[in-house]
Amino acid sequence: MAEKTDVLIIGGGIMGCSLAYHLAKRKKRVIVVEKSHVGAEASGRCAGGVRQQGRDPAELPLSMESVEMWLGLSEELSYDVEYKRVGNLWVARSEQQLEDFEKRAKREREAGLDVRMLTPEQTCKMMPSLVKEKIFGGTYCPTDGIANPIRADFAFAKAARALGAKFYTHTEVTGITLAGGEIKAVETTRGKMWGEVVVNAAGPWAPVIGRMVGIDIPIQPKRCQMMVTQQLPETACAPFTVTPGDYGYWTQTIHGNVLLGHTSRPVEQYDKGVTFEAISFQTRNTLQFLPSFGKVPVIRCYAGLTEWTPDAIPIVGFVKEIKGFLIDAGYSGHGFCLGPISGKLVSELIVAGRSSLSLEAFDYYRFQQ
Amino acid sequence: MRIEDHPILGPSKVKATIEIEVDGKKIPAVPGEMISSALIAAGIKVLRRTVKKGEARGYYCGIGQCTDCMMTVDNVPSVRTCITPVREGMKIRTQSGHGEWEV
Repeated sequence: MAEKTDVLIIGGGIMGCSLAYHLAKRKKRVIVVEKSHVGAEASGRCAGGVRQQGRDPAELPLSMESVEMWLGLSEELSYDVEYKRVGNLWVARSEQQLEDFEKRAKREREAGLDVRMLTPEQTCKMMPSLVKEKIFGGTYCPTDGIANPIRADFAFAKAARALGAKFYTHTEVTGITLAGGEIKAVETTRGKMWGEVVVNAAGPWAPVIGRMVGIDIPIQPKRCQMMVTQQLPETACAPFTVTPGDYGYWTQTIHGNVLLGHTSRPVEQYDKGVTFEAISFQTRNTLQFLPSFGKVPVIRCYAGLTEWTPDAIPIVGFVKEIKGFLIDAGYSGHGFCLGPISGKLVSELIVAGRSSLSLEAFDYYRFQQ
Repeated sequence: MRIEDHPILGPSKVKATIEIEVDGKKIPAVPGEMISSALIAAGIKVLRRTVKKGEARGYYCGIGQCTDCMMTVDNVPSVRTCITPVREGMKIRTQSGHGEWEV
């Protein structure tokens, strides 16, 4: 006998956990199936940026709403997610990039976001470690910030559990039985399960789940590697600082460790091993822009897998081919901030049939047009 | 305190021939030894104060893992002194919390 539930969520990352919480709040019976533990993959390995600036226009309203939710999240979930509005700073490395920033900031300001253009001097005042000669200016969004990725995942999972959601961790989905366009059973290493709605929130593994129901999900895994410094004074890296393009970013946890991250790279076979190449790339990049980090001890490094769609925005919504099958994946390396709002909107989609903010741009069928 | 005459290894052959500066005070050090060794030899036990309560912390694991011996060395905060060798004229400061960031 399959264990039955209202909603079966595959994947215990921030999307799965947030959705489980919002569904449980709306009195739905929920099971989350996670092959490892909660937040084991990208959701627990990311830099924890809670950012609105520099997003795809389709994501901007969602991120702005999500930031409002982040503000009260620790209180709502009764668990400290270490959210802090440290601001987000984009640094231009060329005149051309600065022009692109200007256009983007104008569009964002029209949408109601507080984004400021900065001269090189102002940029360096924000982030004193930057070398002024290397930069052309920047943009700054004061309402952007950071949170602790691991704590955020746990917070949602804990609150969802308290409302009755079941979490089956270390449980892998091995197959899905279909009959006439309907899901008959989801086979797992813990036996058969069934949900009226089955949510594919498996991140980089979403295409694997897709293949089980015979649909192609255009998501490619990419590896992103992070270096962690010793705890430093909080002025070392005050805002979340990004040099966009094929470069890097730096952010400081509230405990003082600075994380040095860089652009995700395509990877084979879900390999999240640490590479020397990435260490050397990010070390050189950091020394170029932040030479004062040259003497700072790096205490560890780790990598994680992000999931990329062809247009770098997620796929969210039901598919026509299989009744009750919903995709909530493909956040392309910047989904963490959207965790709270995405869970809320997708829960609305499941419970009420429509969401309070449009998810149209994230339609699965957009790639076929 | 230094072991001058070891029961098995015999008399010490090392000599404190260089000087390092700790909170403005000069102390002798043996070339090649770790900063924390020189500090212990000079009777300095408190290496830093904690972030939240300002409690004293000192040499603990001695192998770079526990981070209790972090000090500000030549303006770089949070350097693990148990695995960082001394150098002539090095300036070391007792660190309060995460120290200060001087670019």
